[in-house]
Amino acid sequence: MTTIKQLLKTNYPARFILFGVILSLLPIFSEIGVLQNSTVRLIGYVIIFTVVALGLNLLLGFSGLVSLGTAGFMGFGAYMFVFISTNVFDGFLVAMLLTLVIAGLLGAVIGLLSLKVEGIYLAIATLFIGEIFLQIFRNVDWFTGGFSGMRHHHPTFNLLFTEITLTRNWTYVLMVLIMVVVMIMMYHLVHSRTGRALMAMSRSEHAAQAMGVSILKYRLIAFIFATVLATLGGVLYISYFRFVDPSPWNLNRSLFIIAMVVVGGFKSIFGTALGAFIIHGIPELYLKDIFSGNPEFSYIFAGILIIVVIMFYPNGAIYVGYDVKKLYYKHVYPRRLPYITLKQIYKQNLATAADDAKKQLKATYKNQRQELRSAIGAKLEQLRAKHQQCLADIKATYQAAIAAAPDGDQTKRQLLKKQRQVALSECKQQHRIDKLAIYRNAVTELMVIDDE
Amino acid sequence: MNKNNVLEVRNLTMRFGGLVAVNDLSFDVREQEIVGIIGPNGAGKTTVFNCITQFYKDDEGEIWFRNNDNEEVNLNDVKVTDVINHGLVRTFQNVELVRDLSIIDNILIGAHNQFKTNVFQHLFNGRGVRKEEQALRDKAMKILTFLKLDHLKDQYAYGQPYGVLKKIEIARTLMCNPKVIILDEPAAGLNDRETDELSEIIEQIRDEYQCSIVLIEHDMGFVMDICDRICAINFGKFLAMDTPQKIQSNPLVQEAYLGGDDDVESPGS
Repeated sequence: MTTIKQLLKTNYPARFILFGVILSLLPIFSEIGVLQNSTVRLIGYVIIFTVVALGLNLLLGFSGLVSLGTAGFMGFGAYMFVFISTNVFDGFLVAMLLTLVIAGLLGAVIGLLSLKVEGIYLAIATLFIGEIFLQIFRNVDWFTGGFSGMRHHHPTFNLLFTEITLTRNWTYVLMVLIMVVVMIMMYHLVHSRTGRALMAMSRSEHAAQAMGVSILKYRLIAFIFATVLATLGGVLYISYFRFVDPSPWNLNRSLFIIAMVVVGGFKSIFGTALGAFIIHGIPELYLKDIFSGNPEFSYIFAGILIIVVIMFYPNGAIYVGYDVKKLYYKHVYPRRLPYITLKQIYKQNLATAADDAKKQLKATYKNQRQELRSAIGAKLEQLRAKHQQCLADIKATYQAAIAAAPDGDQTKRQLLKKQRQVALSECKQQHRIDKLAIYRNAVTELMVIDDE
Repeated sequence: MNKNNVLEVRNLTMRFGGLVAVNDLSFDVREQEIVGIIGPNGAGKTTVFNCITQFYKDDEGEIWFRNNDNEEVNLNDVKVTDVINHGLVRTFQNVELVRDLSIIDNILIGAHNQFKTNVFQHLFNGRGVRKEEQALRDKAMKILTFLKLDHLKDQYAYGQPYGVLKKIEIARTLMCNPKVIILDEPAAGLNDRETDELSEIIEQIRDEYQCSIVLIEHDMGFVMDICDRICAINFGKFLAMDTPQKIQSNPLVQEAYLGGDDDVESPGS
């Protein structure tokens, strides 16, 4: 356990692996009946969105470029994968790789386009690229099957002598695996020279060029990466749901993916996953149940939720965690500090103690903690009594003074009342300081005892 | 090219439509020399820098540069992103840093072209990538220590005081083993104490890194104090290039700054 903890602290990508392991356990829960099958399907969809949104995050968060054609590329990935599987080779890895290579070439074309059009014009250009894809999906029957869509099977792996087709739940595990790999790669990429160059390019093109960053090269990299990941999302979609038709790949979907990046957190990998869950998971999972009578309300609430997140966490919902931590260190941590210190001392003693003395130590530790708690409690009780006394005294004094003031002298009364307020707040302030001093003194006492 | 010179600007002319921003300007920079370029607002100083670093392609003229390998190159034949590879690096008038990167990462951007690994290697973060990153990180750390910024290394550039931002920009230029550093108004926005510190730093850089420094600055005390030679220009035209004392007493320069006799009007008239 401690080694795992250590690993998580020193090696950030290990967290992605842990995240993946936890996610891949979900099908087991559905098998034993704790989770509904539909919930696992929903999480599967969230995983697909996470992969796609990660690509868009590289574009939007790191490189400052925008694409409104993401859904089009997702659909393209799904159809292309089916096409290659039926016509070229029916194996998951080969078909996936071929699809991604084609997607990379398409991404390069859009990257070149982005050199010519900037900002809002780039958004419009990519919007219509998405629209072109949508029209292709609807109308080119031999490639997409038109409105009736295309069917496919779960991933197949061609091994040397045999062929394995995964079940639904194993496909889910495969998706988690791919997501974790993408997360780790993305983490490495953005913490390398490439990531820094992308950020330099988006924040100041001139400075980036003066430092030797080629704008062409890094725009291409950003767009290729984003396109490949969007296409990968499409491949996972068809592999998991086994059916694709033109309806999901519209502008609406592209905007939702942008919302995932914005709500979850620019430049944050876990934030992107959180964003995908907030945008897609929460409305379907929780809000629909709450508004089971009229499910359309759930979408209104999803919209409100998103607006609230953007208002209070403009950098992304992932920063909620930092705020909670801050609150803990401000309000809770000082009160807990004596106990934490005691525990640390106990652990130190435990590490050096002989085996047979350990039980003894544990017993004394428990005793000490009990004593500490009661000692601090008693002191607090005392202090509270003193505080009440202090408040009562002040009230009594001013009551008398106000009563003594002549009836007509309103200004004097006002003044006295104001003074009373100041005195009361001072008293409260002092109380707060004294309370913290009790905790602090407890800590110092513990340290002194430990030194002896 | 003269043997002592690292940079020679010959007959540089730059026009924007009908406006001649730089007109037939020539000057040179010697090895390990601090050269100041002065002139009233709109004299074309920044344009000269932009031409030298190839952000603008000049209309006429040559910019000869003796690079790190002791070869003479005409910078007009070099792409803007390759200028830094020859050992010529610049800062900007308005600080151009990545605000949401830590200070040390900002400095590593200056070493962009010293990385040999490519994107695919970065995706997998192999041993080669880590080793290279560590080596350059150590180099950046050395520069930070040299500029006394090492205690700030993991903080974001965002929210740092202006003096620190200017220093980070200078630190970034040092990452690329520069031969000539071009500073565009390094003392703008600094208080007196920071300006003194800056002139100390610039002299230290010249001695430590054995490079030449070209700077634009409006703070005359600073320029006169630090520069070996000063080049004065006005309306894109060369006025004089000499030591600070001689520039101060040069009638042409005085006229450019104070105005000639005939067009001075007294406030009352």
